[in-house]
Amino acid sequence: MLGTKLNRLIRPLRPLARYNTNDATITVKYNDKNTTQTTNETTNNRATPSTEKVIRDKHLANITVTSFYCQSAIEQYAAKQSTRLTPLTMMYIGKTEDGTHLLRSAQYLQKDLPIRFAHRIDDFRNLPFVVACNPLLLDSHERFIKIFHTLHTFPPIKTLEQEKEFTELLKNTLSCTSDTLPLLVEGFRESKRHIKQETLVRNFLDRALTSRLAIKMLIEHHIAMRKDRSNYIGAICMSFSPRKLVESSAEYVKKVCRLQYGVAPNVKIDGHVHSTFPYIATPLYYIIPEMLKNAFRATVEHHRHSDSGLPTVGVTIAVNEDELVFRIKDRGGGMSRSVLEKIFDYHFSSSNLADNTSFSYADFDHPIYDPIVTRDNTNKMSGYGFGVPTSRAYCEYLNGSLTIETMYGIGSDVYVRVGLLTSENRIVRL
Amino acid sequence: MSFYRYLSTTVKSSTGNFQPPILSGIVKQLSKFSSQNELIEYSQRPIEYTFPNNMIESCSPQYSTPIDLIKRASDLRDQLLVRLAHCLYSFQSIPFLPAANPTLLSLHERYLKAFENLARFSKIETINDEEKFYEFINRFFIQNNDVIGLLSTGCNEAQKYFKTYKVLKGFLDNVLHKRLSMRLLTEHYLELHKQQKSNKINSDWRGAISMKFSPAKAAQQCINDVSSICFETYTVVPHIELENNIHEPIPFFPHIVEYILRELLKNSMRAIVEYNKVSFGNIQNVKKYFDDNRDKPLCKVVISSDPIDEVFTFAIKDEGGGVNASYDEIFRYMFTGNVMETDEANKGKIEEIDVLSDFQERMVHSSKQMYGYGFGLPICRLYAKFFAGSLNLQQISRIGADAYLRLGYIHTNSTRVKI
Repeated sequence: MLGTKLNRLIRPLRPLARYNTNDATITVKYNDKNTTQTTNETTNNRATPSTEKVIRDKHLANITVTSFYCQSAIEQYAAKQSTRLTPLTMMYIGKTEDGTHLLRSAQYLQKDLPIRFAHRIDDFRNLPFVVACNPLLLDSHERFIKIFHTLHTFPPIKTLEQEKEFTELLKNTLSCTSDTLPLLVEGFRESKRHIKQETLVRNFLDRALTSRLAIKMLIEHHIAMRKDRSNYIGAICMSFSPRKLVESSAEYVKKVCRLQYGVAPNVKIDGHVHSTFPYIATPLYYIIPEMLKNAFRATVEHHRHSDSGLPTVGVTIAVNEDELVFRIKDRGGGMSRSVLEKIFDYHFSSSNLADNTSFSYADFDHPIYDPIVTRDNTNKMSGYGFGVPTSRAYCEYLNGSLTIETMYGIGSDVYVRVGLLTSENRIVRL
Repeated sequence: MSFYRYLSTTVKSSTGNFQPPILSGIVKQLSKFSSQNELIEYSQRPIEYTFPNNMIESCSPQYSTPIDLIKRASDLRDQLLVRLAHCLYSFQSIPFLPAANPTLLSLHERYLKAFENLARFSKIETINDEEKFYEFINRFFIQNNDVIGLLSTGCNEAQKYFKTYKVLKGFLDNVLHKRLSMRLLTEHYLELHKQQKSNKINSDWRGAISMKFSPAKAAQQCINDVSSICFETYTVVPHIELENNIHEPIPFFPHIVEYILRELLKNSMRAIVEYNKVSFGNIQNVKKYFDDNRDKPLCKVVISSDPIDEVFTFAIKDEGGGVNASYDEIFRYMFTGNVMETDEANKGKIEEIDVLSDFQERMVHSSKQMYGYGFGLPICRLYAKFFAGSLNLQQISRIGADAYLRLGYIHTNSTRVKI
């Protein structure tokens, strides 16, 4: 009954949510205790083909989420605790001759991923009703339920063929969730007005994004274990060089900056430039370009009218036993305290405050911006408003922190700290 | 039955002629610290805060007639009484054993005597009264220049008797906070008195507040001072670069800024020298390194001001290797950075060195001292918070540390800074 009411609510709003769906139709109904309810709904729903979600994937195809309410499996799983692995464990699992390491890894993922997804679904369920009915959020909610069920109903993995199928499934999961971030953030943008406590949105988004980061890292690690890249154990690069990361991020951000402004400042790297150590660089691939983007944008906009060249942005790298520190210094004019306080909020973008709108702007009808895949040329320099809060959530998840010290009229220094894999004091758990 | 009779007889006899016990010397000595009515009364009064912008306005030249001075003197008396009482309350509240430490006890006694003398000072109504008051306050001010040093020695000795760090921190924070406000008020009054008596109108100063305070000049002065201390201690001095972005003077209490800057610069210089000493082996090499690299400074000070937030900032960035301790630890009282002390002999030497003292006495007493008992950073942070600002330290391990000192403007119409 509740399901029907929800469906009626959803129906007029469907077109908005359509833009990210694929085209196959769902044919088979989901077999669960809800069977009786599903038949009820199909007879009541007259516009069945146009209101059903469509997914091209054969694994997720045979699921219809007809009720958000009766999902007992989810409730069961949400009550469990997830096991968080330390990357050290992941490193030392090592390779066995017959591939049992792949089996073990797949079994761990099969046990743990449903729990993590169940926790996320639980978070969705606890959102205030008016917010959760936002079509984008409902879409994400539904998608998570589907992924959960797909993973949950996969038979226990005992052979290597099953493991291969499972890996395929994981790859599909990854591509399905690749646009979660913009959906969530956009979904909250409108409905935030209904939430009185500001921390609710922040906590939800922090948890959702960091959990997504962890899941992505785990899945990538599993997939990479099949490939035999030298110097890599799964997704862990054994001789990760922070300097190379900064250099490649700087190149990328320079390109985007030039596209938008026509000029771009240079980056000077100092500190422990020659250090290398084992690390999974995935989160840093998001954080460092975001911080560099902010630094570049500030530099360019502050020195817009000056004749002398743009001051360089300095990046200092420091490594000790516990943590990796990046200090990004710019001379882009700094921020006043009011802006500094808001910068850590989701949806705050100082580009919206700029009077000169021909520069950066927030334009949300653009194609999906996946922050993890950073090679997309349609990325903007700023405007979405979640670079800094997401980076901070990621840093804190990795037992680190993100601090910004600013001097108004001069510039800002950003300190990105993350825990090392081999640290004893700050054990990172994915 | 017989037992009961025995008890009743003893009671009867004790109510008859009660002899007070003969107190031993030490008990007599300590019992004078037990409760005193006047003190209780004052310590229960709330503090009436003075706001610096009022201080500035009320000190403009047209207000400095002798009558004003008299009124100011009697106001100061009241304010000091209340604040002293609050300060003494902190002394009285710490547990017995740490409070009985001789250094802390002598400080306690000093404040107690001051309170009693101040309370005995009757109404100040004539110029003569005011003169006497001025003498008294001047003596009090000069006498208490060494309080921070005494506190640090005392707390160091009594450290193990403070059961929790929280108690120690609460005590020190309270005492230092009240002391700062007392000193600011006292200094302000003393300067006003001196100005009036000398009959010169100096519009650059409003009591203890310098209207033409230039943060850059103060920073340069502090750099020079600390460089000379550093040279005396280590025979090498790293070059410090100063970048100033404030071009107009800001009214402020110059001594506070200089005190904090000196502390921070001392920390930076010490870190740079010791870190390089370890990596280069001996002092000759360090000296050569510093000389060769004069154009690549190992320490930079950047000054800027933010008129929107009404705050001015000093950023001191050094390349001294940082400290291998967590953020909370470095701001603990009595935490001293561990610079790879190798032998016990070294440690023994450290304790013989004189302890830091305060304000103007600094140049005389502490000229040989680059670091003391670890009070520098917590006090600087306390002072920064007092002026509606902050002190943040960002460590970059094995490279250096960046200190950001922010102090709020005092001449604008805000009630954030309460003295």
